[in-house]
Amino acid sequence: MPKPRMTLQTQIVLRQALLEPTREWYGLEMVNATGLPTGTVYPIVARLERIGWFERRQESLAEQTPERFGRPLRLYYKLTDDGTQAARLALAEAHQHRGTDPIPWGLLPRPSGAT
Amino acid sequence: MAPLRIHDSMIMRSEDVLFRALRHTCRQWPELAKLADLAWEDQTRCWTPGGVPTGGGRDEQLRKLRTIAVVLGPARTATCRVAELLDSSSDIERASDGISELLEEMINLAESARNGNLRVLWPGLADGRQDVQTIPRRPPGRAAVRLLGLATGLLPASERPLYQEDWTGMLYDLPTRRKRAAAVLSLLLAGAPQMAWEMRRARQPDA
Repeated sequence: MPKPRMTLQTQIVLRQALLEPTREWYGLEMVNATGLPTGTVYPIVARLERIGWFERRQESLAEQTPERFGRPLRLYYKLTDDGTQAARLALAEAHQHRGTDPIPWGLLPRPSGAT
Repeated sequence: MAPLRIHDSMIMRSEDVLFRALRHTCRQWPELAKLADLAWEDQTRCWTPGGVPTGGGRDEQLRKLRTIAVVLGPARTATCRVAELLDSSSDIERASDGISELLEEMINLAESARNGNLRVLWPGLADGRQDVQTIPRRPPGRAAVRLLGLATGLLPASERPLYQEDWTGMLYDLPTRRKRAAAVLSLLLAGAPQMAWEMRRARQPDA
């Protein structure tokens, strides 16, 4: 299974989805939960869907609650089983790398005695 | 009589501030909007073209005014503004006996709002908030829908209707015009182009 580029935003979306892996959620719900802009969340979700970590389905008319009756139908997303495992691994890996990546711009502390 | 006219106009201005804020806030709650409109009608009836209040219906008007202002949290801001206006001219009360009662009520109202001693009349609206899901939403504007059409136009043809519907539905759920505009622009400028790239890339056979 291919792996997406684990940007910080992707990690945030995955963490949020992994809070309740079996739950379905819609785009605006994820936008509100993560605090990321709409234009950031949707491409990430589309990318994760393309690689099979998320699955998508359209809301049916029968599911609409009375207060939402007549509204446009939502797209619901959910982590797949494989996606859940892969996302956990990818997040763990990203977290592990966080401490070992070289610090850029020469900000690494110099060893004592170095000139 | 010139000072009286000034004072009257100040009171009318402060009331105007209060009512404008109330009417704006009340749009979210139909039952309160009805009450606000009634109070507004009574209020305008209380003032003759010369700026002198008539006596009729003041108690009822005050009751409505107080009910609306006390119940709605956002009205606190408006009532504080009223209080500021009134505090700046402490001799208003002496200027006209006819409006003293109204003035007293308004000052009491503003002070109670300022001190936070608000009675809870309607539990659901006590803090001026309402569950987001229960606020009736307006359908999105034509401009927003057209911009969304532009955004979805970038996507592959098979995906367009799905996302058009999903994103239009999202506009129904966003509470303010500012948020709707931000969401549409974000999708148009950042989201849709990236998604179009992702989706078209997914269709290409692996090398």
